[in-house]
Amino acid sequence: MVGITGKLGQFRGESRFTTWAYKFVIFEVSAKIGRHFWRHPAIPFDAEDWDRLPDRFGFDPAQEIAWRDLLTALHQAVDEQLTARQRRVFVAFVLNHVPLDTLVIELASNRNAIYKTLFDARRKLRAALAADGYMGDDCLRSP
Amino acid sequence: MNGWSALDRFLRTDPRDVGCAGTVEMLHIYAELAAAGDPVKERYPGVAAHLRVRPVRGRL
Repeated sequence: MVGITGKLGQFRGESRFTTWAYKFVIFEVSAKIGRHFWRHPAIPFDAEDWDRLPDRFGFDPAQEIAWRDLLTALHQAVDEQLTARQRRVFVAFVLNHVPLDTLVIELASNRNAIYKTLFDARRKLRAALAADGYMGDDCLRSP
Repeated sequence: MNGWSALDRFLRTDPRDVGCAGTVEMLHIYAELAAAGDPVKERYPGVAAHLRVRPVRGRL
């Protein structure tokens, strides 16, 4: 409530007041969850267990033979194409499920900058997989 | 969504994506217009591009 009243001067009547206010409630809750996760991380931010990668995207273990090469190429691209910061954000966000708001605290940054770091990493990884022949018709080539 | 489509979606970037700050700025307007049936994806393609990104199991 205090957070919203502090922003009242920014309300320009472009939407209902409640819609505008809910927006800040959502982000305030998200930030609190981020702070909680930062104080009590389930796993270290920099832990690297690449065996988690298939599950993160929902690959079926029973079909490992079909996706193993693709994820090996993705891992290689993460190692070889990303900057140290992009790699750190990728590992934290994708492998370790660290919330965006937690990364903001951990890296002393802001949501926009973290998102841009991940955006650039995603673009690089897609280009790397395309160069390795894993793309077809602008989509990942599945067997 | 299988692994291929989830990974494909994660790696797909849209240059129109306005990022977090641009989306937060417009979110309340976008939400109301969307609820009213307005073609917000055409009107605000940069915000729509950002909201489309659900890279890993619905996160971000």
